[in-house]
Amino acid sequence: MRRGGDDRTVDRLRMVGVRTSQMRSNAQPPAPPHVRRARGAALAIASFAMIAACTGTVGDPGSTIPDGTSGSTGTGSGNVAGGTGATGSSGSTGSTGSTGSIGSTGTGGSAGTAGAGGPTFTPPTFACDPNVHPPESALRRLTMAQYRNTIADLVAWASGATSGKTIMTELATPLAALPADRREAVPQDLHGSYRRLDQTLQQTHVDATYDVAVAVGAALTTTARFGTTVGACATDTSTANDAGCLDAFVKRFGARALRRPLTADEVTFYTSAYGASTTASAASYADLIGVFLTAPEFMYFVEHGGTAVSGQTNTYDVSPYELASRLSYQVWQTAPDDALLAVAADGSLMNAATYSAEVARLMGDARVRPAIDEFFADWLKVEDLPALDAKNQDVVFKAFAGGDLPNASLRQAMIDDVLGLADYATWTKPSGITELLTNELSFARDARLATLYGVAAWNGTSAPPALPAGQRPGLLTRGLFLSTGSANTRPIMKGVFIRKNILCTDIPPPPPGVNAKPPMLGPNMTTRESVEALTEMAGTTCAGCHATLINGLGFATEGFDALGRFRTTQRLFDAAGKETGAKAVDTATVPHVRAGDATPVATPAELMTQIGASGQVESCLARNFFRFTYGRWEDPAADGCALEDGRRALANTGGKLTDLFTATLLSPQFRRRTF
Amino acid sequence: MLKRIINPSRRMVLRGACGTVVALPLLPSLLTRPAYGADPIVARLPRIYWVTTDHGGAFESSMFPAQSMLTNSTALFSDHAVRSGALKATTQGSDSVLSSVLRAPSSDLTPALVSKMNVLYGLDVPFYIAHNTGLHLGNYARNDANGGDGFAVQSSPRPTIDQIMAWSPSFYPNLSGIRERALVMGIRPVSWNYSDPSMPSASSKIDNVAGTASSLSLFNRIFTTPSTAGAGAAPRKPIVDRVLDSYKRLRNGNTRLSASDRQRLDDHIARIAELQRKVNVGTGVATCSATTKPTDDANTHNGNSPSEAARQVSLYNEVAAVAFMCGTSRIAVLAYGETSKFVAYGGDWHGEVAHQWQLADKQAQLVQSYQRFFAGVLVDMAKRLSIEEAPGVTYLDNSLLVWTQECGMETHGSVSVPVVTFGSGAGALKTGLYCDYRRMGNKSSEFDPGAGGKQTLGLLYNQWLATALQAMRVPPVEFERWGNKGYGVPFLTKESWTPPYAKHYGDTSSRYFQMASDYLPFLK
Repeated sequence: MRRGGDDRTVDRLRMVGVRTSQMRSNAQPPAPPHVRRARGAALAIASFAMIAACTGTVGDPGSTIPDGTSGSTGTGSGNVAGGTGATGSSGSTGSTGSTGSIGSTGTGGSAGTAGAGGPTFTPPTFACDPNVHPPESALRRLTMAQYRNTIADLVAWASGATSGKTIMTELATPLAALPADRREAVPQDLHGSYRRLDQTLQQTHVDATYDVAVAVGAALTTTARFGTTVGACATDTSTANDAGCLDAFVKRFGARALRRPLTADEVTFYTSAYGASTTASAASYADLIGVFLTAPEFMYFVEHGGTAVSGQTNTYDVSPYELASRLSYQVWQTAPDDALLAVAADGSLMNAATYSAEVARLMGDARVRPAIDEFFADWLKVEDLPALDAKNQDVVFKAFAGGDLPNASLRQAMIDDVLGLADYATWTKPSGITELLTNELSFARDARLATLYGVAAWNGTSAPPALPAGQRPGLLTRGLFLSTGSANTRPIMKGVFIRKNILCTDIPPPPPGVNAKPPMLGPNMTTRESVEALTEMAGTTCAGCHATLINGLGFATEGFDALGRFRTTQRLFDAAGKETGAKAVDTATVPHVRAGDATPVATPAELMTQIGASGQVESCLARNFFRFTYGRWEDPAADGCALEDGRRALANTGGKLTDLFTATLLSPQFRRRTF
Repeated sequence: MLKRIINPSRRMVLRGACGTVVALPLLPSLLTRPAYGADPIVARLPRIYWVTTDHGGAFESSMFPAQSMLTNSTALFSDHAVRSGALKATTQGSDSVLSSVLRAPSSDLTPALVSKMNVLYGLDVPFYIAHNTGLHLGNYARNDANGGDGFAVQSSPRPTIDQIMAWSPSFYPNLSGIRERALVMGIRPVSWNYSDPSMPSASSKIDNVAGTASSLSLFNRIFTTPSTAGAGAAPRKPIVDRVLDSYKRLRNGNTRLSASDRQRLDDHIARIAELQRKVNVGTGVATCSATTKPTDDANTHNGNSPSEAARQVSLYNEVAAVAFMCGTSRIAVLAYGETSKFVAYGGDWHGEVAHQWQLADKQAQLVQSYQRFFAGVLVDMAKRLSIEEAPGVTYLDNSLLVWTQECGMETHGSVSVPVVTFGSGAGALKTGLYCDYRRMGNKSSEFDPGAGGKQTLGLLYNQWLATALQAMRVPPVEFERWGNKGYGVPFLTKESWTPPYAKHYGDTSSRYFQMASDYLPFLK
């Protein structure tokens, strides 16, 4: 697969120029509609735009690309920095700039203007067309976290708080069999996005929730709990009241389990589910509870909608009860409480003032924190941190770690540290993006991690210790993002993470034959030097993306080693773990945070400043919170209003993270559904 | 300890390489002896175990046996001869050796076991698929879209063949006793199916079938019956019928639902139907006499050492083996992933080894990791199943064990994806063969990847998938789609820089694509 670099460049450009027609004619089997949609988006965004951008050496005004004129004029939507060919390349495909993002014109490219005049940086925004409605919704199921919370709340409601806790302990075995929520791999993020996007229905979902439901039924109808769960009418000696007892239970328990009052038909159905017994049978009640807890209205967000939205075909306001559930699960990850059900029952939740008050009430409750923690954990992909102690027996790793050899808990400590920072910026000192990027406090409660940072461990209650000034600003300089589980840093992966997850700019995939002829790496090269040799070789297509989109973002934090320790030199080891020398690390780089911006940085702090000033984090975070909220990938054309509501909340002067979360809830789209 | 219903006809020992966790007394003399000799092969129930690893990149000289073993040649076409020969291991020290990778202690890789192996060379995925987890079992769409080919194929997802088998009436003509149609082990995505497997259509959504990291959890699923009782001691009729009714009621009611909502409910209804089936399997059908619940779990062995890696896989293998022997499942897929732990590599395996496979020291590490994987995983499983199921017939004979790699002999390349198997699939496949399907001597089929020697194109990997399906009794009518032969997607590269796929294969109506539903040469 070895190819000459120049040939590959030409081939890639030709491929980009003709891919549309090829794709249509060559994808032999007809793709299902959902796939076609995804393909279209992927092509329009990732492929055309960024491949052209990378090979054109972003930010290198005046450079030219061989054969660039063979491309056609492109059109499209979504770009960064206006997408008007600002890269200065010859614009072979007429690309729309990068995928990243946002709205604006996306008509760029054409014949390429060789970068004349340099780039202009337009803060990215989303185009909001109120006449465009979002795509048809599909029935969303509760995540397993939401399901667990709902079960816990329901058994506590039915049997009392103390008994509820006992029951949850009794349910440990069936609950343990629930499948874990997975960060769903989607075409735009093949290595895992959000747990809320995991809407696959596995057989284990059905099997395990069935077992839980049956077990809950049994637990709530033990001799000791039967009367509390169903009522005295079920345990007294009279059989005359048993029918009424059942009817009352079906209505009362059903309304709680299904999160709205039952219709008459449903009362009939669930009464029949009780079975043939004509008296108060604990076993029959257990069965009935089991049927409630496996019902579609329990397992899913079943929504039928209410009033049609004017001007938007097939789009409806959700009903008050449906809205109550949306709100409660979004904020608390569980079913609505009594107060929320009450304003749903009297319909006042549909009034703007009442709704806003409920949003404020829920956001002001401590139960919001786990949900927001889940958001940050998924956005920041904390679970991607590998086990840090797996290579403790390796001689090189042992020599590298020295006295800081990780233990099994260090990984979680690093995760907690970053989530602690996010929690601080959200709740303790309500702040915006700048705080996330520049905060210099340590949230390391673990002594081992604190040692790596050079501070005392935080006790979790007093003021967090200050990190050495100017050394470790913000989230991206914490162990979570620096540690690799090996002795070497991974600048490429650091750069990719920032580019894709913090700036929401897509990176085209590696070119083919990427390693066909790797350079020989010397034993005395730093990681940066090796990466540059491997990926920035002259005459290869690798350099286009690595030099402009990836490496610079990673090199800026090479002042930290693979355990997150600050360093000024990189120690070098041979295969036997013997230290062979040390070389100064170089963090000076051009990160190209914005396409076409060649401003250099020398420190992580300067990088964070550039990132913060780019305006891209606000839109990126808005996109990400949208994904978390709606359980799907955004479509900027159809979802532009909701996205812009979120972005603007952050971008406004003094905009806080909580403003994004609240704005999302107040956005009209949150209260609507398309059928 | 879980006690199962005794079936006195099957008393056995399930061996564990790292400690027996499933202990069943074996008294072969007490085995019931079904009249296999009188049975047509098709009546025997095959099992399939498929293990997958990342990257590939082992050179021909490391991966495959010597060419001198290929003593037979057959003209597939006038310009394409295929070759085969009997596998014969040499002894080097205490090892039995077929190649640098296919090497294991002689006490394990015995001549008898070698006679039940096949090594297949020259099976190509004829486009640039690069990083993927979908190649192994036929969902080529699951690739990282590294290039135009990958992008194009992403639009054509397919269920994987393990799931095709799992829902095939030909593979499972009788589901009694089957607690899980397929065991998917490990967390790397490797298995896909229609969201409603009971009603597949061209427009059906295809979802990943999530694997399970916990071998203990898998054990529980195949040896624990879903709850059937509510309160009280007396067994009760399962409520699953009523659950099913609640979904049908919503699905078929007159409330406003989107088309997607209805599809979702259909998907769920299909899953409830499967639950209903499993509930009705009950405990009375499981055929093991006594089963001791394992106390160790694969997901606790993630350490970076060969012993930890082998221990982890042995725990998966034990569950799969006991499922096969007890008849609670006949399909197991283990998505292992990267093999670095088998050599305790301390650095970044992906970047520093797999992607630098051309370099001699990196090649040596790859080869060592694959060798240990072969010996510790595939041979381990073969040994476990080398127990008589009937006179003269072992569980291994009635199984097909397969090891496939993500790539061929170069990382990111998919020319000559190695396929190593054990077992005949209950008589469906000949064994003991080294098969080479490459079109040797044809210049237009050759290319030089720059390291590891010249490569030559052969036959389609699609044909191997179709062969495996048919060996598992699934006829082409059940797996061919869109009028195309073979399995997977009949796609040919559109890139100009790839190996000479287009010159060799012509187009997707070529002879190679037309024969892709045939058994691979020599195997039938």
